[in-house]
Amino acid sequence: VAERCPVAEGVGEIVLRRKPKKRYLALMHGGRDVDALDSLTKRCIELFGHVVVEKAGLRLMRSDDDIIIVRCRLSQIHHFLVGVALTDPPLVAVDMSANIGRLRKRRHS
Amino acid sequence: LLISGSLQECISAARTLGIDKIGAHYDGKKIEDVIYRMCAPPSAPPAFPYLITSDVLDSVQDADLVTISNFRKAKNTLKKKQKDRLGLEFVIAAARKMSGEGVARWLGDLRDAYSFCESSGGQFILSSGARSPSEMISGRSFDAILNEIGVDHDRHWQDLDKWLSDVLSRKVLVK
Repeated sequence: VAERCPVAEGVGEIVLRRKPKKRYLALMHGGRDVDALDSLTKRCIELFGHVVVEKAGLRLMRSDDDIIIVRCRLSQIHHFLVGVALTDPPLVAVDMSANIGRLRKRRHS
Repeated sequence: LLISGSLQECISAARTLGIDKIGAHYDGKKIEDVIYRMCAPPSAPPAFPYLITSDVLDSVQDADLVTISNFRKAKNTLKKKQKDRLGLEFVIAAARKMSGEGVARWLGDLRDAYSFCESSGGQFILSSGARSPSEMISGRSFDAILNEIGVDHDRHWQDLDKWLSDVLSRKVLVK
């Protein structure tokens, strides 16, 4: 029932356990995929703290040669994008999508 | 966005990253959607759009834009020497090398610089400072940094576009 008729969150209202919205980002990097994610996580922690990074739920989804696909919660995406721009070694946010399949299709096309 | 390095690669990368125009040093070949950086006014009118850039605060009178590495130090000089419509450029590549504390201070300086530009009639410019496509910054990341310093990104890009058209329209170019 809850899934079929969601209500607004607020005081005195039923709070539904909805899935947080996520975004998938294709990031271009120059080194190892794990190192790229590590340096990005480290930078985000330095700039915004552990709480924000934990809320962002960063996760490495896929890795091609020089592109990694990382998942991040939509609510923290702006922090994440700032982190991407300010990470050393450099990372480039090539594309972003709510759907990993669509992102991969766009990348291959 | 102002870059140096392999231009052709950077132009195709810029299109992927949602960037319409890039700035670069002139390498003898005119390319569409590129605005060239020059250190001094050319002796004869060139056939390409250009901006005169400087990173020395003492020579702001000839320059269209000046690259600022430390706004806190430069602020007092700029107050005395600032001319109307001068672009103040801040480079992200330099911030990448900073510690977390340094980046936080740099973001604070950007906020101050934006207010300074608003009050003095200057133009705030955020550049990647990239030397290769892998150092470029996407439009989304630029927007996120602008939002982080409390700037409405849509308004910023509109202002920058207007500033660029104004400055370039004053230059004499050969058709």
